[in-house]
Parts: sequence; C-alpha cells; structure tokens
Amino acid sequence: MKIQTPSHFESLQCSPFWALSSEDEKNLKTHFMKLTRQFHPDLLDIDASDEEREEAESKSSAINAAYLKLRDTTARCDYILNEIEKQKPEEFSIKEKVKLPMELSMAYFEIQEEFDGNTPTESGRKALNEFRSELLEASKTESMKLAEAMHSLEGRLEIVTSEHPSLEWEINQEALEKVAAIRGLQKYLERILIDIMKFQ
Amino acid sequence: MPIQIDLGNSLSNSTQSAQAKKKSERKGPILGIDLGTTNSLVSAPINTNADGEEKKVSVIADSNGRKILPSVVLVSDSKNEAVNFSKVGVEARDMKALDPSNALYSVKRLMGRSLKDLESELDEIPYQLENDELGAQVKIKAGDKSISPVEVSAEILKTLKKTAEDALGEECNQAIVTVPAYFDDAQRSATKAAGRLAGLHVLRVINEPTAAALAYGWSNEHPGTVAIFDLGGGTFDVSILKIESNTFEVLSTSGDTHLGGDDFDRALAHWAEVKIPAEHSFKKLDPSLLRALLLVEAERVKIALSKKESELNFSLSHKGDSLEFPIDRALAEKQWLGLTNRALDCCARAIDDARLSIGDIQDVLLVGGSTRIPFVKEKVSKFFGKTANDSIDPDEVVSLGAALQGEILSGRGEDRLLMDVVPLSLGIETVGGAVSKLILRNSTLPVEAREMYTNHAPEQNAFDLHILQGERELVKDNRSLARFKLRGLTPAPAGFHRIEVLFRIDANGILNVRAKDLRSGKVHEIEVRPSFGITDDELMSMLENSFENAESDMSARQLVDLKVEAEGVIRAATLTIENVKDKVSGEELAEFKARLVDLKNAFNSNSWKQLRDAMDEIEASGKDIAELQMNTAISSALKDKDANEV
Repeated sequence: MKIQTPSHFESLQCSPFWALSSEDEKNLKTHFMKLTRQFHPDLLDIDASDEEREEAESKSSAINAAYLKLRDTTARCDYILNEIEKQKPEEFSIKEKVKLPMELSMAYFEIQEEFDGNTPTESGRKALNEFRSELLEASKTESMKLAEAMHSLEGRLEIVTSEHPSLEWEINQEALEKVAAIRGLQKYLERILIDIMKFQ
Repeated sequence: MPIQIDLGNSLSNSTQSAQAKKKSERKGPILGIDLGTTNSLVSAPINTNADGEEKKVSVIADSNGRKILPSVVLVSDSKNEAVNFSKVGVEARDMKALDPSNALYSVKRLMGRSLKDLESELDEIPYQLENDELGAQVKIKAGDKSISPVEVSAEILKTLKKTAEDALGEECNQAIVTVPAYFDDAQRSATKAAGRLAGLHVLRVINEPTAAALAYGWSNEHPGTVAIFDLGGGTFDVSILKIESNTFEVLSTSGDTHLGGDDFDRALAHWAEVKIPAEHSFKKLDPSLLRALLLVEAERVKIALSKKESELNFSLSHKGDSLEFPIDRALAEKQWLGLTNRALDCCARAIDDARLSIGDIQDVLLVGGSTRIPFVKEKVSKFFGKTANDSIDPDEVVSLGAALQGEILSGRGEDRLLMDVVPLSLGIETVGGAVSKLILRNSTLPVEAREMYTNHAPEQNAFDLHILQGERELVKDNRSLARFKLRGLTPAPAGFHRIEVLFRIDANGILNVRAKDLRSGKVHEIEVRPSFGITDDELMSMLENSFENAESDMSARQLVDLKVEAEGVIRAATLTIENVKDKVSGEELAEFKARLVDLKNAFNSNSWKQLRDAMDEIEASGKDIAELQMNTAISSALKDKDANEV
C-alpha cells in the first residue's frame, strides 16, 4: 500500500527516518528548533510587510502543530494510523478486534462479579488492587512493544523520491497490522483502567 | 450573538484594518509595561553612556522618582459628556478612603468581562457595574457617567507612556503589555484595546511569568530548565521554561486565580475571628466592619512576621474595646499550609505537563510580592529540593521582561527567541455534546489546527461551529468561546462542498478563524470576538475540575462514544435480519432478535459495561447466523467510531 506523506511530516520537512528511536526524537527536536528559528515571525525585521508576517506565522503555526503530533511514539502512531485510514479506507481500517490475555480477562470478570451491586469485601478490594497493577504492568509492556513495532513500521517506510515535494510512503502491511493491534490493546487496557475506577 | 461567516460572496470580515500599521508612524523605543491589578510599571532601553551607543533596559521613574504607579484612577465630576480623569496613581490611591466611588482600582479584574462573568465576585467589587449595550463587557458607574474598564486601563497606560517620554525625551508609541498567563481571548483583546486607546501600538501581549523568565535568563547566566513561581496579590501562576543559549521555551503553565496574598490575610483573619469569645462586644459589631478590622490587622501581622518578628500580638481595637491574641510564625504557618500546598499542586501539574520530574528543574525563580513570605519561600525550596531564587526584584522583573521582548521584536535581541504556550485547550462541539480538542493546552504558539467540513444534504446551505475553551470532555463543562455560522453554500450534491476551517492562535494567544471553500477558493477570515469573556475563576476552576473529574468525564465521554458505535451496530443488525430472514432457521433468527432487543435495552441503560457486553453478545450471535454480512456491516459501523477516537 502506498500513501501520500502525511502533511505534518511535510510541515516538519522530514522523512519518517527522523523518528525511529529516542535518539532520533532528540534529533527531531533539534531539527524543529532549527525550523522555528528559520520561520518564527518574531525574528523578522521590524519593518517586514504584512504579507511576510502572515507567511512566517503560517509556517511557524504549521511547524508547531506538526511537532506536537510527531514528537512522541504514541502521538505519532495515532496520527499515522489515522492518516492511513483516511487515505486508504478501502484497504485499511483501524479495527480493534482486541483480545485480552486470558488471565486478565478472567480477573476482569471476577472483579465485575465481586463489585457489581455488592458491598465489596476485603479480599475483593485486594483483588481489585492486584488487577490494577497487572493492568498497569501490561500497559507498560505494550508501550515497549509499540515503540518496537513503530520502529519497524517507520523503518520500512520508503521514500519514493526525495526531490519531489509530495512524497509517497510504501506501507508494510504486516508492520502496520502489528502496530494497530498493539495500539488497540493499549487503548482497551486504558478503558478497563477507567472502568474499574468506579469500584474504588 | 453568533458570528456569521458568509461563504457565498466574498464579503470578508477581515482584520486587515486592525492590522494596518503605518511604519512611518512608529516612534521611540518599544516600552515594556506591567499593567498590574495593584501596581503598574514601565521599562525601556535607556542610554548608559553619553553618545547613546550603549543601552540597558531599566524601569523608568517619574519626575518624583517613583517607579511604581498604583493602578488607581480618580474620576471627577464634569459638566459635559466626556469622562474627566483627574488623577492617576499615588494621588488617586490616596483618595480611595475619601472618595471611594470615584477612585477606581483593581479594574484589571473587569477587563473583557460581562456582569455574568463577575457574578460570584460582585461582593468584593466596591463600585457599581452595568453591562454595555451588547452585554459583552461591564461598565463602571461613577456619578452620572458610565466608564469602561478599557478606558480606565488606558488612563494608566497613558500615564506610563508620558513617564517614559519625559525620561527619554522623545515620543514613544509602541509597547509590549503583560497579562496573566491564564488570560483568555477577550481579556487579551481588551488589553490590546486599552493600549490603542492610550495611543500605543501594542506589538504583543505576553504572559507575566514568561516576561519574568526573560529578564532572569537574558544574560544567559542561568541556562537550563527553570520554574517561575509567581504569587501575586490575588493570583498564582507557575511556568516551566527551558532556557538554552538564546532560546526561551515555555514547556507548560498552570495556576490558580483565587490564590494570592489576600488569601493569606483571610486565613489569619479567620483564625482570629473564631477566637473571639461569644459574649465579647466585637461579636455585636456590624459583620462587614469586623471583617475589615480583621483583614487590616491580618495583613499587618503577615508583613511583620515576614520581616523579622517571630512572635507578636494579633490585636483588634475599636471604640475603646480591644482584644489581643498572641501569634508566632509557627501558628501563622499552620493557617497557611493549605494555601501553600495548593500552589505546590499547581507546580506538580505544570512539571507533569512539561513531561519532566522535579529533579529536572534546575532553578526556581520567585516573582510577585507574596513570595516575600518566608514560609512560602521555604515550602517552595523544599518542594523543588533547592533554594528558591529571589535575586531579582519581584516587583520590577515583569516590566523589565516585557521591555526585553521589545528588544527582540525590534531586532536588538541578538537572536534571542521566546516561545510561549497556550494556557487552555481549544475544541469544537461534536455529536452528542462531546468536545473534540483541536489544540491542546501548553501547545507552543503560534499554532494551528485544520478541520474539513462538508454538506450532508443538497439543500444544506450553512453549518454551525461552536468553539470551546477548557479541559473537560463534554461541552456543558467547558467555556463557550464563540459560535460561528458558516453560510451561503450553494446547492450541491451531499459531500460536494469541501470547506477547510483553519483555527490559529497567534503569538498573542488570540484566536483567528479562517474558512476556505476549497471548491471556489474563497477565503473568509475573522478574528474571534467572543460574545462574552471567560472569567479567571471559571478558567482555573475549569482546569482544576478537569483533574478532579477526569475519571467521571472520561466515563461519560466513553459512553457517548460507545453509544455512537452501538447505533451503528443496531442499524447493521436490523439490516442483517432483513437480509437473512429466509436463509436461516427460525430458532437462530429468534435468538439473534432477542440479542438485538437486549442491545436496545442496554442502549437506554446508560451503563458502559452493559452496553459493551450487549454489543459483544450480538456480535457473537451474529457470527453464527450470518458471519459475512454481519461482520461487513458491523465493521463498517465501527470504522466511523474509531476514526473519531484517535
């Protein structure tokens, strides 16, 4: 599958190779600061025309908006998935067929039984706390997995031409599905964490 | 009144006229003005040697040698229509007791506000207020005159302008004016308007804590990540900045609009009040008189304890009666602990928003008069694990910083650059009363977001946009900033029009909205003039509530999202029953229909879990009878929902 380079990548004048590891996220920041200095309206000559100011403000606004979406793995993941779905709805939809790991699924069921409409017992509370830590632990694991999966998704993105302003990305289907699955599970874990708050 | 943008003709509500700058009319250096609630100051670059080669930014004193101008304006009677402002500053302040209804003070609290916004604080405002014709901005009633807070602020700005011109010996008509970081669109716009009224071209409104950081880090003696702890008379702001060679990057900002020196006085007054014996004659005093006596003494005690005394008497006396309660620092500090902790909670939130931990903060700069309280200094130092820095005069630092931003804009900043953030998130209303956030709080300015809109039916010729400020998930819990009506669409098949709406918050923190019809290429621009201003209180309590209510909010939001999803599933299931009724056994179909009834019941139960379960069940049941149709239909129903969720 090929998609057009999402606009925020263009605003930051960067290929996805900028965003491969935490080291590259630092590079992205350096690059962002360089662009900011190049376009920020405050660094214009005081006698700059209104057109020049508008141009600088427009560029600077786009750069700031782009950096916010690209600066960390989760934000970038959501942005890329959304962009792929927007451009190729017939080929890809972020479908969250999420399956909780068996132990978590069982624990969730037991917690619901214990708390639904009943006065919680001491052991129920203990189980709830344990379940909560298990969920947090699982979230942490998924975050690490997401970073890895994003690495392989972005790493496999290929720039068709580096000269043409409207670049295309070749998306690796396998990597994409992996990223979508991990992100889906992450969101599901977040939801359960919020859901069980009502028992506390 | 909703703002209307006509897409049909090229009538453009443009801001060009407001932006028209006649460069030839720019005169003098750019002034830095701290337009404070209680006091105001002006700074400018002034010559440090005879030939004018070297300049240093300094606070400018008036002809009496006074640097601090009390923000008080005296209105005197006049025969004609015009309002006569007879005195500004110290002389006006001295009239506060003699002529209370004409000595106008603390008008900063009224800037960009309507009566409705001020409802909860009307008791604390000493003069009479009324709404202007549009109901958008309060006016102060003084004698037979009706005066806008913008006019009063303009008098203060004019006085500062004259002070600067007298000292510099030339006309000055450009300024940078500071505002609290949490000031919203209306309040910022009102501040700019006051500048224009005073004959000043306001090149920028900048946030007070950020200005302080600029003054502090200008000479680059303190690179690194710093916190600015700004505790004023009535408000508290905290900002986290990264200062790196010549870049000042604000990472986050937070605050509390009802936390300042006044609250420290109130805490002591309350402590003393409950100690008055039940039968004592003070109990029979008029409550407001007793309150005033307590507050005056509380302030005296606070200041005395802050200087060197560690133990003294809290004494009340009135018409020969008197009472004394011994108080020492430890006792006073016990009353202040809750207040101080509230400020520290804001600090923790700001650090979190900056994606840092306490250990990353290398220096803490104290700003605002109330940071002179030793207990505050001590608690702040303890919280951050390092001695808080009070090396810069807390009164002067904000106006100095504003003048330094003037140096940057005039090209004398040696390539320094200030990057500030927006204090509150900006969003638009979506289906089901939910808010879709377009620009998150603490986004670096200027910043933009784009949204695409299309017509859903051929006859649709307009659509509404509702813009909100705040952190909560549902429309009703956020502050409505403006409503727009985009109208004048020509009849066309559904989905034909492609209208891109651009939301941009400029470097002043002021929102601009621009709609572009991508089919016709027409551009329509409008600067947001909110129908009413947000209150500081609302702003901050909204922010606070969003943390307190994050959990119930998220649940509510999830329910809204899930219901949207469920509607799609119900539609798909109904369709499936139609499609498969002749192809499967009656038993299976009855089972599936029962699941659909369950789902509809769950839909009305408003329980997220029940609805989720019902959806899972119908999906499982659907698999058995018509896997293909069901999955296709449901997955297309789910798709819409997921896109919204990202």
